[in-house]
Amino acid sequence: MPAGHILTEEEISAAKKAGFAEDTQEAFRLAVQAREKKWKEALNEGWVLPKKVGKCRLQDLSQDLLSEILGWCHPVDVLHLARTAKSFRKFLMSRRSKPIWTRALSSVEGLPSVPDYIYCDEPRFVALMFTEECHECEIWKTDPVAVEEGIFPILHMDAYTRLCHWCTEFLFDVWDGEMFPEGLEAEECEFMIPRTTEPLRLDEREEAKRLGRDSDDLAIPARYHIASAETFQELYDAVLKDEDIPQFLQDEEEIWIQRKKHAQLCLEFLEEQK
Amino acid sequence: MVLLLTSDNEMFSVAEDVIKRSAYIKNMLEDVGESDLPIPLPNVESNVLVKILEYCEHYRGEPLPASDVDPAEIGDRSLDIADWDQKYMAVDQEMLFEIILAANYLDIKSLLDVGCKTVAKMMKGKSSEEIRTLFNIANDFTPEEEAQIRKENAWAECR
Repeated sequence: MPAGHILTEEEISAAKKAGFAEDTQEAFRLAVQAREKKWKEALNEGWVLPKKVGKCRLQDLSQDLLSEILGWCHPVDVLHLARTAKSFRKFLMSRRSKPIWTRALSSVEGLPSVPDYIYCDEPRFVALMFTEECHECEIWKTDPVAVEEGIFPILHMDAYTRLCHWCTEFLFDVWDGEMFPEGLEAEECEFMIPRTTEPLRLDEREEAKRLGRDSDDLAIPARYHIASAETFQELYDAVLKDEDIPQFLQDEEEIWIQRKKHAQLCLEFLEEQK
Repeated sequence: MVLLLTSDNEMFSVAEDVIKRSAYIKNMLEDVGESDLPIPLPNVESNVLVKILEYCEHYRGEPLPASDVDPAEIGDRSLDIADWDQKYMAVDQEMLFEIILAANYLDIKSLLDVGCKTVAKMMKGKSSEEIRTLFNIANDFTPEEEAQIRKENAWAECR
């Protein structure tokens, strides 16, 4: 029996017989009286003693306690918990839960933090850095379909996404003249849009296999991340005065440089993890 | 001795230096002073309090941690758990979560940390499906929703 023990009436009588000091006896007596009085009053008022409903489970814990537990978790464990049930998803995928993700991410040694300028929510960053499936179709490198088709998820660090060949082809596009804002020369903004020169289509992949990935004879067109181009377009459209455009371009270039630096740090982190 | 009254109406008599590991009780004793009346613990059942007291008894005499220091905040995120604590936490899940609840209510930070680390260790490296099985969490997503949530990693407010 540990330090405490349950006192019954018999034990109190025994304590008296055993010659406990008067004040201890009195303390026991008062305690029992208080207990009895409390419950008598409660029952007289028609109260029902609280009964536990079911078992105590992880999903019954308060959000504060769940946060305490997740404070010790790896970010990918937080992500996996967020995908178990609606209640966890609702709680963890709310911006109010950002501190939980930030704390989990900061516990990973060497992992670059997520600065605001990269427009990457923490859960997305966790999925990017710690899961390996395509963010669109969820295909895995070892998925039978992926093996049969010779495709696999490609990390597009500049775009902060991981996409298989098929989804990359769908979400990246070759320059068509309408991808960038009217009035801007391509060279003024094209370098700020994430792009890929991966061989994506089957014929491109076969050609790359035949010639070698680094061959000068291999002609793979640069494809630009459509969503990033659209975001750029929206930001450009929000500039009200023409005279503010140079400043806008300068600011965006600054952000792009920071993004590239951050993306490089992330790649180095992933390389070290291998 | 300190008298404690649990939610299931059981009385415990506990040595003061044992129960003072609970910052809640410690502060109460300091604020109220000596009293013959029991301290009611409406959120703690007797079987859980027995377990809590086992922990307090084991660490009797050990210095109390500074109340304002959170090991996780000062960079100690190790999931290492002392041997005795591991054996102590080898209980069924219901009791594990009851201990966490009680440690939180009684403000026993070191015990709360051990409980939380134990749960974190249980989850470590497990897939969503494995976590569901482990904690008996019902999957209330439709297959379509489940496919969708794996793609959606943005804040709910931004979708």
